[in-house]
Amino acid sequence: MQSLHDVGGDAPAVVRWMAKIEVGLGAVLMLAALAVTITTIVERNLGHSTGEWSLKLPELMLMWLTFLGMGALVTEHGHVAADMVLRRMPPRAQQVCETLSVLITAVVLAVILWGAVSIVSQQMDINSTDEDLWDVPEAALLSILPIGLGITILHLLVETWIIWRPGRREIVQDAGRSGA
Amino acid sequence: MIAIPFVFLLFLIVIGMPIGFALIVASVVTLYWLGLAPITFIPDVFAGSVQNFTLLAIPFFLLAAELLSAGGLIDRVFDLARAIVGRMRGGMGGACVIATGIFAGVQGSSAADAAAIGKIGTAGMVREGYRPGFAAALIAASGATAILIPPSIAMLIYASMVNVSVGRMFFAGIVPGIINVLAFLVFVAWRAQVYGWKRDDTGAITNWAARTTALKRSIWVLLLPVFVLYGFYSGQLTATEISTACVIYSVVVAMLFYRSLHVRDLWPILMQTARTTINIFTIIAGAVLLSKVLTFLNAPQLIFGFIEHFKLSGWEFLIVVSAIMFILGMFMEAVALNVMTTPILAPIAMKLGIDPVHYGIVLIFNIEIALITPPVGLNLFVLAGATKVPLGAIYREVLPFVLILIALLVMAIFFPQLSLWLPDRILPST
Repeated sequence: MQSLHDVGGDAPAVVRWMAKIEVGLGAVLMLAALAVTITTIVERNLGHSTGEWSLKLPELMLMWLTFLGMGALVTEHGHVAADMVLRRMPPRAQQVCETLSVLITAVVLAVILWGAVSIVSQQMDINSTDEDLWDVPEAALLSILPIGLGITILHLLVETWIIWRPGRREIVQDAGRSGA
Repeated sequence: MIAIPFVFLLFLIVIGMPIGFALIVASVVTLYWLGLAPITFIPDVFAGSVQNFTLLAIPFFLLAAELLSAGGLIDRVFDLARAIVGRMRGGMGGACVIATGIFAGVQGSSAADAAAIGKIGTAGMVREGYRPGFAAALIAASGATAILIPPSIAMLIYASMVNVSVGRMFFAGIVPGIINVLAFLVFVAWRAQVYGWKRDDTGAITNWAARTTALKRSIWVLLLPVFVLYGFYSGQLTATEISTACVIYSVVVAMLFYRSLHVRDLWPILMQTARTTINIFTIIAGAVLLSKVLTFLNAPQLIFGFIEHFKLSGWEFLIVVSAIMFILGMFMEAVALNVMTTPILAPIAMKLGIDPVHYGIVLIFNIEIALITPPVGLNLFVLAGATKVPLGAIYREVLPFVLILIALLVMAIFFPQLSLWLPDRILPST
């Protein structure tokens, strides 16, 4: 269910496209995870073993999908939120609350981003690799954490700008917003 | 101390922060305020919470449902439901209950179930004389049964966290799911008599030949839940593999048998499924983090101390848990409620000798109630959005459905056989 605006309707075109590309990459990852799982079933029925990678790779793709798309859903207003209190507020109070919500999220994600960068640099320092996934460096596999959090912070900052941009539409719909 | 994250959470939800982010922010603020964990702990939990092979079944079941929906499944299922009960007084309401029940059997998201039937069902019921608020509330409530009837995303999440067989959980939902659908049907029939609602006079097909035709038109859809359950029964496939097979089945049915889906339709469907998946997994990541924070705050020990102090038995514990969940469910989103409470409460339930599958079904009923209890009831929001019926009108009419679900919850608590009889016969635990 889309609600506040159309899919990313108030965002600048470049940010809307960025969001589309992020979700699109997520969709490709989902499709790839599906293909790997199908291969695993077929191989097993043929009596072959596909190894640990066939379990680990789709899991990893799920993680990449989640963190890659988290920010896009900010722009598309696709995250589930309960805004029944918000929509009863006067427009200025709505703007203040939304700004508060977006900025608090951005600050907290920045703190987590710091932790994510620490984890990735630790993995780089010790040259850790994943044996099940053809010795790919762990740092590369986990790099989606700082990348995804960084992208999400970017979307949140753009959202702050949109909230205060003149001519922005108010929240008028009669329901909570939900992407589920 | 335990109240700290919840106070934050409530504040953040009130200012309109998305639930997934609110869970993350409330957890992180509590962690740092109380100095409970190092900075690298949070991204570590994030990575771990979404890297789970069983949870991979969620996007695949969602994708299968999206494919069948886009392939015209809803109309076929709805026609079948109308053919079965359409000529009864107030038959459109009954048809909606049956259609949501059948649709629940091919997908596991209650919001998707309610949204799918919402618009068409509400309009039909209003035509028969139903109050719009009641019509929307009925579909919101019957849509919630999607998490009880397999395949169920809520059950998948629970099973992956408690390490219980997904197959046993799915089989356990069948009997309570059927009882739930029947309870709503009886209630609608009773209300139709009392209020003198009309019969469906919009040309619903109701003779046996027409019923057979409707059945034939939707047979491939009806076979999907059978196929899923057989997958678990055979023991040859995992939940994720069954969900993968469902995707293939859905593509074949929608593209080859129904010929209602084209290659060009696939990309938007994939995009939409990716969006829903991201949404759900953001909430899962936040809820897992919050459950870790609650563990740091010794919540399980405190709850267990409370149980020992009052010498609670198994069923008394389930009633206390249900009361807590009822209150939490008024403000919390369903996935969050599931992920946040399960790691803390399920082990305690098992210590008290409660079967994890039985506890799981009690949990699912609680989540079902949470989906339709104001002020934050996701299905109510979905219906308000889909039908344009004011949220206030739906709030007023949803109470009888909440009461029915509470009655069913009590039944599930006191009669574990309802949940355990079928899985014990078909998939006995080893």
